[in-house]
Amino acid sequence: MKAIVISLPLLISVIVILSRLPVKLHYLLAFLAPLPAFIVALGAPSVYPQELPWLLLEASLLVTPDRQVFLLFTALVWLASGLFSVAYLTSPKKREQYLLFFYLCMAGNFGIYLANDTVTFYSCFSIMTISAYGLILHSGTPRSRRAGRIYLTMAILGEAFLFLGLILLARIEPGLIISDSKIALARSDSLSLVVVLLMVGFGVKSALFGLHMWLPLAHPVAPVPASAVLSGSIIKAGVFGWYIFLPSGLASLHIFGQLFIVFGLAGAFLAVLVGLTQRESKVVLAYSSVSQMGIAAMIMGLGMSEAEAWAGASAVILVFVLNHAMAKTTLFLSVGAINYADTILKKGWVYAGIILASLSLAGAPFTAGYIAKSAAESLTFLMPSPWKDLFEWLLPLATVGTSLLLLHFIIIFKNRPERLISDPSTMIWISWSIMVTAVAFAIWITIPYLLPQIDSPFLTPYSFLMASLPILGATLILFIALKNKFVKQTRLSLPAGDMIIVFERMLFYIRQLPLLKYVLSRPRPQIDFALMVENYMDSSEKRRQMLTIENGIRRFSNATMIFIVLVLAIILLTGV
Amino acid sequence: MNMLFWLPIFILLSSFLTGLLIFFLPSHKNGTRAALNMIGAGLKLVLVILVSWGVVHGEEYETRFEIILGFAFLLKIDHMSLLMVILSTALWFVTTIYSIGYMRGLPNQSRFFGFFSLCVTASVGVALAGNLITFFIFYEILTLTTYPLVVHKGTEESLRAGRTYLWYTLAGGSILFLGIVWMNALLGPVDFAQTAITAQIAKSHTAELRIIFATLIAGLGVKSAIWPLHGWLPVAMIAPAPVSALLHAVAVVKAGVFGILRVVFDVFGVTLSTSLGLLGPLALFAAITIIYGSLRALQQNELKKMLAYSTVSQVSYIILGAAATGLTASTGSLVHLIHQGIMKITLFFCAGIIEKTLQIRNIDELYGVGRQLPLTAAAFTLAALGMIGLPPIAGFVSKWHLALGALEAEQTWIVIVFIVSSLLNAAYFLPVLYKIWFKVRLERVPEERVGLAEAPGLLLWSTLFTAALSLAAGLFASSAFSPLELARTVAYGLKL
Repeated sequence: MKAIVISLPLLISVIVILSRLPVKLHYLLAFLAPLPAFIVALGAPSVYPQELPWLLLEASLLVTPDRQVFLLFTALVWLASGLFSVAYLTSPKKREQYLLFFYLCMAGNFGIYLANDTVTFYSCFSIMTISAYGLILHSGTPRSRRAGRIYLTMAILGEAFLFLGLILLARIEPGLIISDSKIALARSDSLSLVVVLLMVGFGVKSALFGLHMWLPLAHPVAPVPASAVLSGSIIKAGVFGWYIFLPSGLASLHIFGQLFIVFGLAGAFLAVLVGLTQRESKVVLAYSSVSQMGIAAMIMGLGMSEAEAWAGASAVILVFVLNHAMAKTTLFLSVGAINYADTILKKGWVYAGIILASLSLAGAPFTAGYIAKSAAESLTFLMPSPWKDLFEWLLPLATVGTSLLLLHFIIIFKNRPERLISDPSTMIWISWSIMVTAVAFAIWITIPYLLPQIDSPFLTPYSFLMASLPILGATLILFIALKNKFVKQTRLSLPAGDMIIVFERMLFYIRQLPLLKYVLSRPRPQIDFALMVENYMDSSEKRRQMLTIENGIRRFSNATMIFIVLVLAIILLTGV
Repeated sequence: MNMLFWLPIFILLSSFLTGLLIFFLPSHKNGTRAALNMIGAGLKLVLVILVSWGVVHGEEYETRFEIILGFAFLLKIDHMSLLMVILSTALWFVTTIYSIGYMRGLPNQSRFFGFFSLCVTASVGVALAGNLITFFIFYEILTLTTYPLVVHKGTEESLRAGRTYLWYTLAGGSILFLGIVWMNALLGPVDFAQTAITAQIAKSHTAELRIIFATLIAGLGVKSAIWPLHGWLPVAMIAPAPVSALLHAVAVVKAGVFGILRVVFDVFGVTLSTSLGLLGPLALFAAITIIYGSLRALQQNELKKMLAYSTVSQVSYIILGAAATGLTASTGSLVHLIHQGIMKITLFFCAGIIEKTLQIRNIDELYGVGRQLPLTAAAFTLAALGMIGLPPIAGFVSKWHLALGALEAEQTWIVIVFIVSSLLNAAYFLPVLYKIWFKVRLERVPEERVGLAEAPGLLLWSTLFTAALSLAAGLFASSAFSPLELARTVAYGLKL
């Protein structure tokens, strides 16, 4: 079954590109592709890994409860986005091209969560990375080409870091089994190097602050359901990479833990600030993803810095990431779904979903986000004192930021230009409803994971109030800001992809360097020794000399002489 | 005189006789020629499978007889020859099919296919050679039989390229010969894998052995296109596509590299080469070649020229892996001999199809090829991604072992070289893929060709086959019959 989870989407990707199928069949395939993933995610975890000794470098697949959580929300995201995609893309030709990459990416994404060994993991990761490029580039506009270029450059650099990190891991633990590698890594001399390499390698995917620039560029240009999977599941793959490879819980990695916390916090807050200056709904959502992934990195750091904190932190990460996947996918799909809402009822349904998802992201009471946030708070108690006090302020502040950004999104969303698409098919609504239901019920999946982790009472009116205050505060701030003349007049707007501008400029200047210009210039004559020799001999003087020599050799007596000398020389050399 | 003696000779004769027969065929007898070609290729394939089965089960095939001056002509099939024989025979079979399709309707086919067969005879001879002198004989025959293929078009440009080719390879051959003669003068006739004999005189003749090593490598370095002896390779890509494919993947370049592997593993031995300090400089030259080739590939606009520089770079992976020493690195090096072959042959096949059907030679003009030739473009994509070293394609398996082996040998700088080279590979292959798939040609929008009709069947099928091989070699790397397993066996046999 585990192997089918990966191979079925692969197979479907081939079917899709080789034959032109009717739309109904496409819906069926979109439904079937993630089905095995659901079965595995909801079934019993495996006792023994499934060994496939003929595959890759002796591949093996494994299902554990935490992998099942990742697999579950990923399957949901792909299911909803798949159905949405088929309805959303109307031109058969473009749809086929898109679906090829879509299913390839899906297979890679599922494979990551089942891989028990490094090479299987890396293979699936690469398949996902490369095929996501096809999704980003789908529209083919200059803007998407730039986004694609930046994505691919960063992704390939990330892969290089990852490759080096994984090779070092393989050196430490030749068995290639991830859980063993993790243990061996914790005791290894090259711990720091590997952790940094993996932090960067996966950080590109999970949009760690400083490596996040591709994301706000890629999201707005990709088709709506592709943005949904990018934010809903692909960036989670990076978090999962940290989750299974870094030796958290086996050692207290104070320095790296704090590194993650600092970068995470930087992402969480700065992305909000940049996001607030954006005017495009999908860009705002992208920055919200960067900010949320910052919080995930921060939780990662909390779990890393103290070995005993990891048990709690790992559960919080699971729930946090699950909640974000559900909610963010819903929000991205809403951007497309609203265009199909031809009745007031459907419009209301879209808004209900948006509000529900936003509340869950902000951690309002009775949502999965609330549970995740309460559990994260309990984690901070384990931290040493400066952090502990800081977090008392930082966590509510982060919620304010999250809420502000989502409110900003809702305002932009409300003021969007009307663009109604009439489509008799109900598939948009089915996939939309799947996601909204999932967001609503996410809390029930999360409770068994987190209840044991939460120290403080969290089902009291007081804690409900404390959780709601930041959200209300954010609403108030935005309300005041919108009335404020100053804010209205000086609406700052930063370019999407913020820091990438700096890098692009730098690259521009680097390309002007004479050395690089020389290297990149094309075409140049090449060194050809043979030609040099020929040219040398073509000069008439040389030619006459050669002719004289050749005539000399040609004379029979001379030739015989030379022959005898050569034979003698060979005989002497061979020592006869 | 039994089968153990005759089989290696039969393997050579299967293509040698085919070649001779084809020379005498009138040019218009296309059917007969194709049939002859296929019979020869098929027969060789069967023989090689037979021999492989035998070698795996412990049979020792050896053909030895004295030639002049006490030199032994020795054909011997060990695991390492098996690696090379399987590569050349299997890919020759595919390339023959491709060539029949490619050359259809072109003049001078009998000459082409005649030399084509002789060329493969020579490269199989290189693989089977059991000592340096036998190796040298086939190595030189290879030079002479490939020359007519390189200049096949007969244009001024290709004649010039052919001249360059001859200058380089003949010069390399004579230097190699010098080294071999010197070696023989020191040691007397020595077979491969008798490194103990070489080691005996290591103390007394240190300096001489160093010079001999350098001479041998310099001679072999020409065909294996080590910087700065690589100049002929990008020039020789003027040859028809199947010839380039053969040159880059099976015959000439591989013969050079295979020679270097023989010298390092079976003439000097890794232990001796290390203690003489020979592998450090070799690794350095290989590393320079890797980076230099990639940088030059980056500058090219002609697709085949870019592929040629890519070969320059990729082939030195093999040398660098061998020079890094150690079981894993050597495995990576040996397996890349095969992996590079199947991936590069795919790329050249694709370049040939694109040139033949769309008359496109330059990277600038590749826009929209993905629309017109989707299957060809898919094969190209697969092989190119494999060249970059992305899993699960063959190139990844090589890169993994090479890099891991370098780490095991505590030579971290080699890992960095591989990673930088991968990035450079990405930098010159990905823009090509982008142009093929995502850019549409605005002028002359072509009619769409769907499915298998996009290119002549023989061309397309052989291309798809090698592309599938590239994927399978990576995907099923640890299955019993994978190139990796074979390379592992060879590396174990070397007792590193």
